[in-house]
Amino acid sequence: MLASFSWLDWTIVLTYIVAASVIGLLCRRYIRSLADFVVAGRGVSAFLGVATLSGTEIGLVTVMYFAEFGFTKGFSALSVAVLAGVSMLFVGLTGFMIAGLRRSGAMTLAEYYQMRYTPGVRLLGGIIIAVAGILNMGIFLRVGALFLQKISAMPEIINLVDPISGDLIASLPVLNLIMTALLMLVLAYTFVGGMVSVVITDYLQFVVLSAGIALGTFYALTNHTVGGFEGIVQAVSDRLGASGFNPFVRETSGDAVLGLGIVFLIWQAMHWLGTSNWQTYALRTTSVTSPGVARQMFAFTGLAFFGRAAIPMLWGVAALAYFTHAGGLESFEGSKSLAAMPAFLAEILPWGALGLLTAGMLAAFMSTHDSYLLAWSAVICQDIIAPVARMFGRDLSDRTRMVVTRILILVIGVFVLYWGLWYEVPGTVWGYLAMTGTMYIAGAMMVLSFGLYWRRASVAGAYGALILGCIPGLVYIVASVISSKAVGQANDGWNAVAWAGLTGYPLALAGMIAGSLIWPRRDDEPVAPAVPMEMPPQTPQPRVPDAESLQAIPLESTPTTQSDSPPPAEPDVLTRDTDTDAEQEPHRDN
Amino acid sequence: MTTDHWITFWWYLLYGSIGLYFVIAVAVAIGAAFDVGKLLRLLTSSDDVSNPPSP
Repeated sequence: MLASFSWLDWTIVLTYIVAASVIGLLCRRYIRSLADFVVAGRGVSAFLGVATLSGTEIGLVTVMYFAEFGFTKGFSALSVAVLAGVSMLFVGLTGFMIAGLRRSGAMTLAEYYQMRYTPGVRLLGGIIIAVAGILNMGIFLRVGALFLQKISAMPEIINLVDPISGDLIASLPVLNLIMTALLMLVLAYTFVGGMVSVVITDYLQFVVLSAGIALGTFYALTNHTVGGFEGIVQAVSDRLGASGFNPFVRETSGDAVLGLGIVFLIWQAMHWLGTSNWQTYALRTTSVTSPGVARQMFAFTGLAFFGRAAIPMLWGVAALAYFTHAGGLESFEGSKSLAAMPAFLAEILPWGALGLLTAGMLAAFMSTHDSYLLAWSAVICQDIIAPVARMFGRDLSDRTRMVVTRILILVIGVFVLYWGLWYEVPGTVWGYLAMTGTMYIAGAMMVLSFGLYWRRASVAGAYGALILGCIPGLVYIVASVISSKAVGQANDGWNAVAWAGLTGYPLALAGMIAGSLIWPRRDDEPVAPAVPMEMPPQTPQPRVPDAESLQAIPLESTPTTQSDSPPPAEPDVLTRDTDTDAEQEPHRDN
Repeated sequence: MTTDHWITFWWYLLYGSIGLYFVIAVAVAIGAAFDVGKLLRLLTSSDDVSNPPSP
């Protein structure tokens, strides 16, 4: 079926890889400071912010897991698209959490923890952020490699044979080889170019990805075997019944449990509302020129997020219709459902279109992977290693932090390769990703939102929210490591992933409120940079800070600190930018 | 809601989302092209300011 991947398709794919890599490497000349490396000098304006946030968050893994979700859940899967889009739109229109985070001047979310709470909260928050985030991206390589393998007709195994004797030397799994090659590619330009490289290549990838998505959608909807929207409806009805259309229905069919159910939907609503805290989102928030631009970015991205989820889900339900009508559906049952969408596209796309779509998906993979590598390495360096080094009386210089960040990029890359090779995901990929996300988001949402909007939020409350918020997810992941099969069965039986995910939010909320009430905020705790929720500005003008404000501030000093003065005890703010919206703020509670 | 209602709802959502996505994609692609140039000029100029030429 994969014979259609021709020399033309390979040419398109390779041309794209070379172009993206060269551009990424050329960006090295713009890296002059840690602020340039991590947040692109805070010079990202609205359109570029949307392009880079969309480029990052519409990854190949996104397309794969949403397609798998559509393939297994039918139209009901689209309820996640609704929740995702509405939540992002709400955050963009109100500035809920993001405006305060940007205004605080923090470079990472954990850095805000220290500004509002203590270095200890920052350290714990940084550890949870890093662990959850790296576990989350742990399966990206495998999912991306599976897509490329299926869509380009590569075999499962390559046999190396001695050319003289004809003896078999070794059998190499192709999936592992693709994973390694993809990792090397992304590491190369993320390692060198930092955030400037990520932002600029994200733009290129956004354009190529959009073209690929347009082609895939057109052919999926017009394919004769799929039968258009009516054909898809018929297949979903035959295979999934009412649960394929109504997301509130969860029913048993033979041995299988179909549908989503109310518990899953409530969990997803909480998850998407808190997703603006996810480190790659937060890093974009801190990279834009002002809080107003952050709101615009989230509002536009929210609109795009309907399509971000809905389009891959359409491909998934179209794949269900295709293999229902053409036969072969049994090849994608159970854990093989992830391969259905790329196999479907490989069947229906003509020459050239297949190459362009693959280049687009590869673009999606690279844009996500580079940002995630940078995000988690930055968190470990700034929020774990640097504070620990300070505890031992050693302050890391700007240059040292850049070196450490780059080394961490390599280390995380190797871990992701290792994790992807042996970890078996229980249930759908989306369930795993949402669960690892919840480990981080549940606590972070409470710590950030209560820190911004509740003056009584205390250090004890922050610890309580972070610890209790991550426990259900941690238990789920550890259980799946011990027995992926048992967790998979629990998912089918009583929706273990939804219950575990949902539990994280009330636990985090209880931890924050109980901790703050039992151990109230002391007078000597840092003052909250509290901000009110705001509506978008009447005349949205992306404002670009002047060149002076973009210069990196020495890491261990504030703008008013002389070089021969002792470093401030706290907060350890990496870069104090001049906030162009500060003068518009109605009041600031300090 | 009956299944027919859900089908109608998903039809509007699906095609609305697809249309909206591509409208935004085109607008963002054009707008961001200017922003890329602006960002690079900004980074270059900040470097110039921090390292002024010697008289």
